Amino acid sequence: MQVRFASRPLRRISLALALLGLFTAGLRGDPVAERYHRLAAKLRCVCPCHQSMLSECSNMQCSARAQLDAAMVKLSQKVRSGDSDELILQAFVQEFGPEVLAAPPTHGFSLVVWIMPWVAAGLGLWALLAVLHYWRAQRPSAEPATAPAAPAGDGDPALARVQAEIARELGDWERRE
Amino acid sequence: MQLFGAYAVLLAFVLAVYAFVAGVVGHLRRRRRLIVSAERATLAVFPALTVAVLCLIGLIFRNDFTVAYIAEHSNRALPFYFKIAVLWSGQEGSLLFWSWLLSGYAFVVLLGGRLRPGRAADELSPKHAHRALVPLASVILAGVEVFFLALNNFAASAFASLPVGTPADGNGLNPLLQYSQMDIHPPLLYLGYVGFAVPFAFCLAALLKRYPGDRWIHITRRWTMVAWLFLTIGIVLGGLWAYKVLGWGGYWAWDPVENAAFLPWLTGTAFLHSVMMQEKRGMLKIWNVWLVFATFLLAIFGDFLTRSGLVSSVHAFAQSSIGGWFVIFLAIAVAVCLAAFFKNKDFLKSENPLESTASREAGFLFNNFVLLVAAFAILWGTLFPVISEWVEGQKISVGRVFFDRINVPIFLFLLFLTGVGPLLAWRRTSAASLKRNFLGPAILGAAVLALCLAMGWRDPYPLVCFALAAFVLAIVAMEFYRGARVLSRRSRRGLALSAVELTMRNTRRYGGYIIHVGIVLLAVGIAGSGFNQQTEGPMPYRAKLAVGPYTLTSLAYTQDDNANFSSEALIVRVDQGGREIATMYPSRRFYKASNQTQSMVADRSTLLSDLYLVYAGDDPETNQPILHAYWNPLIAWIWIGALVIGFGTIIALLPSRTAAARRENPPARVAETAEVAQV
Repeated sequence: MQVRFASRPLRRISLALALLGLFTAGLRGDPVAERYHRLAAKLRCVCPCHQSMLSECSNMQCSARAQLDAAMVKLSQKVRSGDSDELILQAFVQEFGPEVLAAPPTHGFSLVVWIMPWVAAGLGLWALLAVLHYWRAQRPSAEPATAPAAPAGDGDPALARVQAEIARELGDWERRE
Repeated sequence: MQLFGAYAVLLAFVLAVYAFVAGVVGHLRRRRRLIVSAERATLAVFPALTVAVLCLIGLIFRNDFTVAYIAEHSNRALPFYFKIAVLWSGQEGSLLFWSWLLSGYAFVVLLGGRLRPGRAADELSPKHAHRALVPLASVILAGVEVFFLALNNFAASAFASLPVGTPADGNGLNPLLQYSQMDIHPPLLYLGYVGFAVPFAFCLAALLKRYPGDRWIHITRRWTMVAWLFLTIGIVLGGLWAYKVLGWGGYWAWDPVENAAFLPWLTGTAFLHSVMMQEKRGMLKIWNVWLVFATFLLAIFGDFLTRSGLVSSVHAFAQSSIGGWFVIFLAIAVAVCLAAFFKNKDFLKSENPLESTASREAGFLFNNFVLLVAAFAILWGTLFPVISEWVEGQKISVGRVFFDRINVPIFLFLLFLTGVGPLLAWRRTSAASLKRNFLGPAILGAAVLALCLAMGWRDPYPLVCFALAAFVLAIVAMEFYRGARVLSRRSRRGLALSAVELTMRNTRRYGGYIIHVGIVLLAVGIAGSGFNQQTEGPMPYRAKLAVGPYTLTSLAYTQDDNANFSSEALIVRVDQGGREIATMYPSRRFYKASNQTQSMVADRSTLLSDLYLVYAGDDPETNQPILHAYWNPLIAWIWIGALVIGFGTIIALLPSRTAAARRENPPARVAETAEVAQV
């Protein structure tokens, strides 16, 4: 049985050739190619593979990639015609929805996704410092701070001797055990 | 066989329900016979499910397409070594496999730790003191089994028949799953996910019984390490599969299903560190209990994400209605955890306060803080598309850009702590000690940073990663060297033998160091992606393409055909520095049963870099093949790092020679036995 592997329609090949041209131009430091790559890296497939538009879609049942590939050919044309980055990305969002953007925008409700991890980190750090402060406040003052917390060597006399010897050389090594 | 399998699953469900109900009643009314009877029922679930799993495997090998699951996921031409993967390739089969693994864990826990009939808990030696918890832990495990077996019986039966007729052949296994990694990756991942049920059961049992002493935390830690080991290897094997199979040149895409596996790994890792504070200093008891709870709940939540269709992922199972079941179970599990905690929280009071921020305890706190922030950021990013859809009515995508930007700095800080933590002393570290221990490694790290800058590398993250890697490796090497040198002087043996002796005397500590080395190697492999190069182009006869240090030349084009698939391959010569070094065969397969085409990656891997070729199909007009070429530096170190982590974890799980000596200490035994007797 002869099976042809014409993977995608003509548009796909046009895209490959457009990419090839832009890559070749990119090797020469062509600002148009660099801009194309920068914009393409901000876009991704809207199927569950969620791969960058610069990569191969890994989802064999992808129904969106052909349309996206066609749009990428248009992208190369728009880059050459000098449309602004925002205008080009907005055109993709209008056609495919916000899912086409590789990263959430940094305005509107999407800003929440960027802020929350750092808010959580800040709150966590604040809680951590509060706990440290509380514990330090509870520290018994009479107890000598230099006493070892756990028996050195975990009950093994030989290991304890080794640790004692290292401790003599290095000061407080045994307390790390 | 189909009916037999279905009845075996039903029997397992009935046994699990009995084990749970009888166990709860037995413990509430202190009826020993009922408890023993519940244990026996829990034990019997495993053979019942083994029969069911064997039935399903038998049906798969017999190509019995009356069974809907087999018609959907297998076909006659599927090679026998992939037929076994059919068991976990679909929703129903993988759920049955999950239940079987869970029952297997419960079987091992009970067989290894069950009290013999007629023997009381107070007769236990300290070594076996945790066995007093096994009866209640097995009831909790039976409760978890009830949920999954309910799914197996009433929501997603692997033995259900097709509604009408029997097809001559099945739809076949998804071509993406027809790889050797798929015979290993899912079982290991599931062993990790499911395994977290065991520490959860012990922890909850200890809390409910207000179990005295620290024995329960030892057993919880060991089981967590077992599950963590499986999950780690499973996650890395998943990355290896993605790398070798999906053909996009990477191994981790921050896909929701990947994240789902990573979340319990992060909290499990946090627990494995903070548990030391409880063992050594009697601190962070509440925190540890909640880390164990969170790890189990996140494992179940990950399963929910994978199976419910809540988030879109190329790795997820088809959208199904079982999400509601998971939500109910998660709600019950959270309620039980909260109730057990609030009823017994006075039992979890810390025995010691923190004395200094320059101490091992503070180091662990920061380690936990960083791991938890990473877990939150990943969970938040994973769920944000769902949240944004609820709030705004449209899904806002959160992909690799977000996860990389948020997590890379977090994980670099964690890498720093990996080096710093072990050098801090318990209670307090003096400034002189800090200087003495850190100066050498810090100078080495700075030297590596300077060297990288001198080589013209400017991407900050890989540079910082390489510098930190050198810093951590120097610290670990120093730790081994110091201990081995002293032992070597005493025993007059070589340094290498002394290092082995040192490791075996304290497997946990030095196994932990080996794990840290593995983490460093993994980080170096990941940092290599900062130098990746990729290109693509048409490759007619004698066409050339350059990527990294390689020049690729298309030599020929070949075709093949068998019962399962037909294939086409490009033959590509690889030259480096004007010299031919290899011939590679990137290909594409057309799977006949599923009518799907799949790129077969050709990968030439060395310790320094991978050359990764993907044959992306032909130009329909010119018939010229299109080739994607990737040059991925250092990627092999990810897989090597994972092997080192696995090795280190196995070492850490081995009993130390010191532990054996401690067990011979009679006064401790008496004291602890007395404590157990009070339970």
